[in-house]
Amino acid sequence: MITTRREVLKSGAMAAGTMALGRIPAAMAQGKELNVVGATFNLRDVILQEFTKRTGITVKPWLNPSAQARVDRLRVTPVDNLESGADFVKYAWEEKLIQPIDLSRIPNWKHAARLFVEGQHSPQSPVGFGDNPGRMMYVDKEKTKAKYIPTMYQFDSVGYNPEKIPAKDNVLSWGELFNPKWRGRVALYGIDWLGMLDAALGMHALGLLKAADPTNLTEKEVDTVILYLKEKKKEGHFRAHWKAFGELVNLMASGEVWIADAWWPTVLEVRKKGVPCRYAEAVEGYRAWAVGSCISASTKNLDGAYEWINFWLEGFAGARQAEIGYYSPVDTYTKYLTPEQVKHFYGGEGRDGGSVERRNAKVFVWNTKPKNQEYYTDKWNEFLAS
Amino acid sequence: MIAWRTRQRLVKGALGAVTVLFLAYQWLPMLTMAVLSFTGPEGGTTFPMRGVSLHWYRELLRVQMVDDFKPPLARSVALALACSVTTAALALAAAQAMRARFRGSRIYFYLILLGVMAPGLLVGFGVALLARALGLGLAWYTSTFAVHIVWTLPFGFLTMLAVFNRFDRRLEEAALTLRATHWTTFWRITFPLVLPGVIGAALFGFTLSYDEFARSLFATGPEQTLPLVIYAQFDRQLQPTLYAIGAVTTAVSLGAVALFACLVRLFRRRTLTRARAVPAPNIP
Amino acid sequence: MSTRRERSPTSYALAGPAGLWMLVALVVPTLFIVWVSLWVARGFTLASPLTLANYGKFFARPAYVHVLGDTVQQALVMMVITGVVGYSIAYFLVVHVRRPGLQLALFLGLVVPFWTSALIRTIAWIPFLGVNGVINQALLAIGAVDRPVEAFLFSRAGITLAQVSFYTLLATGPVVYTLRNIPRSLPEAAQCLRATPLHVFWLITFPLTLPGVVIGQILVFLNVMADFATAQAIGGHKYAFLGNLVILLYESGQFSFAAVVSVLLMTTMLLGVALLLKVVDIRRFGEP
Repeated sequence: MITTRREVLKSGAMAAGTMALGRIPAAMAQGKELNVVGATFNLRDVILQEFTKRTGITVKPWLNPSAQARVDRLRVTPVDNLESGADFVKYAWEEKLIQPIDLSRIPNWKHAARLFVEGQHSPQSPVGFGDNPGRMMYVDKEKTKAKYIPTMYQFDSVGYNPEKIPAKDNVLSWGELFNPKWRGRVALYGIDWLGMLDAALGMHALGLLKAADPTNLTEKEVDTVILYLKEKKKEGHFRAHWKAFGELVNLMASGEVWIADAWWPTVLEVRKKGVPCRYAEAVEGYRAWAVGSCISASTKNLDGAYEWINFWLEGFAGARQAEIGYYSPVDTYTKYLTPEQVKHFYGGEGRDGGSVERRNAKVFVWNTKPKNQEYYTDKWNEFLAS
Repeated sequence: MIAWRTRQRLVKGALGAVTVLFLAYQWLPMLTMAVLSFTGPEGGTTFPMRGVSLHWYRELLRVQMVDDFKPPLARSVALALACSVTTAALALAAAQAMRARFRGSRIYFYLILLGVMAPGLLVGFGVALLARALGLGLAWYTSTFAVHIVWTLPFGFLTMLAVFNRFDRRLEEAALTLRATHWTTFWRITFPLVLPGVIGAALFGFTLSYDEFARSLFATGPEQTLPLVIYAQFDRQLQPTLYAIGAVTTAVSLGAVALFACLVRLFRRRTLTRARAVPAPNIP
Repeated sequence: MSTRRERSPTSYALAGPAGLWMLVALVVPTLFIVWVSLWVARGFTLASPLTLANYGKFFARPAYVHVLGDTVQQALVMMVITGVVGYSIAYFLVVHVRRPGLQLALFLGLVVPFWTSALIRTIAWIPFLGVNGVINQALLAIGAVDRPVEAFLFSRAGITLAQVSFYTLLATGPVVYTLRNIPRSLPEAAQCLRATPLHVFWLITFPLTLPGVVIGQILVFLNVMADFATAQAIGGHKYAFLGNLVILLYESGQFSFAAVVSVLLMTTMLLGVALLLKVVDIRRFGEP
């Protein structure tokens, strides 16, 4: 068959036309793209670029500081992976927005820390109140399917400026947040259930509250907390409340706030800005949490979604997150960190709060959305309106 | 009794002081932002400054995946320009229509104003759910554009109403009696006279769209606009890169304004020369 | 087109596009919000039965009614401040500044900051108003205070200060337009008839600019009522206006209640606008 110049031109025009419209065959496009919903503390540039380099899949991130907005994103548009903490995973699961993850497709989960398999670091470690990921992440008793795979975790306590606030051996009580000496220099987390949890921990430390389970306060207990908070607000005790990572860094780095219920990486950032900041060991124990990856029920790229999770447990991501202060549930990060770094981040050498073991031994509560969330919200709004 | 002239001067001075103070009030944070944008690599978004450098401007230019501000910036500008033109056109047409007091114009007025009254977050969510129900995708040039116009149109509409309110329709009537068509009347009499209002509506359209994020939060697809990207940054760290963006956009705005002023002056000079070239009519 | 017969087909054709756009992109989602506000279910269930009880729940809680009152109060305060400041600036620009070049320059000086993202400007307020910020450093330097003033930031006063910066232009703009359209002959004629400058202003100028003032006030009212970002960022998440309440309820997954607050917010705004229009009916045109 003799190809005429006209036919060559025609086919060339068609190819150009197709490319101009950007229409790659649908199946190919799906395999090459991954819609991930998360926040800027896990969907970091360096990790996304490495993922694309290794798998050739382009990640389309959707970032939002609000955990609720992230879950709701799954209602309005097809998503592949959702990065969320255990608290909102429970919510997303109940709303049937995510699907169970087959653990046989996640080979590295075999190396998961005992904390996430049994819910305790060691048989003597405290289980902690609230939604312990090691206990609630599994769908079935045989632990073959999970609601989400934790990819990073930490133990929260109190961040403070050591030049303004004295702390012996870097140990502080949660109650220090309510010390009248620091009036006007305190920041408390601004989302109702978490702010109240931290307030409850503080009041518990000061003996002002006797709660059986600080993560699930009864209505009377909530009333007690809110009454106390309203008093403190009237006194001008809180300089501000914070909802996003960047906000707290700003507050502490500018000297507006001296003490807050901070996250470890915020302390690191503040220090980088030249303002002294330390993370205390909590007398009563830590508030722990674990953020991980879920697979959306509406995903169009199931294989890609599994690749994403496996990539996170492979070690590169774990190492990069360790550098900004997060722990990885699987010890594959050793491939990408020097022994000194491992000793520093995990062994606790030269690091506030000591080693992972030491923190594990002092788990007090886990981040939990309470059962009577509505009552919490109503009362917190009352607090804001006062 | 203070003399009339002195009283005039006092009033002028007082009002002038208010204006200057307000301008200072607007620009001091901008200057703060500009100064802080030159902070060193260790600096944050607040004082004290840690060194002086162009580090954050360089960061802005570095191509990045998650933190890249340039595509969202381009999208926001394109969207704002589109909103600007659309708002001006729609507002002009709607205001013109209102003058005729057609049936239902009262409801129509509130319909347009509803755009400002509906809280953005839930409108965006509603639009997104609607799109999902209809099987349509979300994108910055479709769903986001739609909700932006909803937001900017009331402002443009009110501006045009204000301008038309003081418009002397006898000028139009005069043109019509001189046998001009309605279209000619509009184009050569009405439009030039209400042009400041149209420009105002266009300005509103641009500014409001460029900044909008409550409605865009849910109504935008994976390709985000600038305010959404900035909002997402709150979660990690507020870098002085944001200040660099602010400083750059301000500089660009000032540049655009200067350019516009020069063009206007050039245009005016040319029209004057042309007018002078036309010989005066010989009226007996 | 006041030159056309009223209710001519052209006017419908002109009104069509804008109206249609608003119907599709706004009315339908708004109806959706109203529908959600009637849901019995707490969470997100499209098949939920309906009830009016949610509204009763809002008014049964004094804290929420307090928020409603607070928001309206803030809007009124802002209307007064921006009205006075806005009018002063507009008057100065149009009447006192003779050279058109300077006029334009000053006007642009007011507008250009708005082309920088409001979010960025909000972030910049912290180093501006904070305890280590520009204002406090200046006050300390000139000895006006001996310790930094905390009340500028993360307080109700701070929110008002920031909102003045963001919304005064809305009050200034329309007044500038109406002021410019007053023919010079009118005040001059009044002065020939021996009216004092105050009389000229109060009896001639101000009434003629009233439509611009009202439009400006409407814009400020609507914006302050719906504002949540400024209150959140500058207020340090310590205060809740109606807009914040919507978000807070949404964040805790209470869709129907968040929708209730939205509907109440919308209704208040509608009522406010209707009231303001009683002052000047700006929908009437071409009337000399």
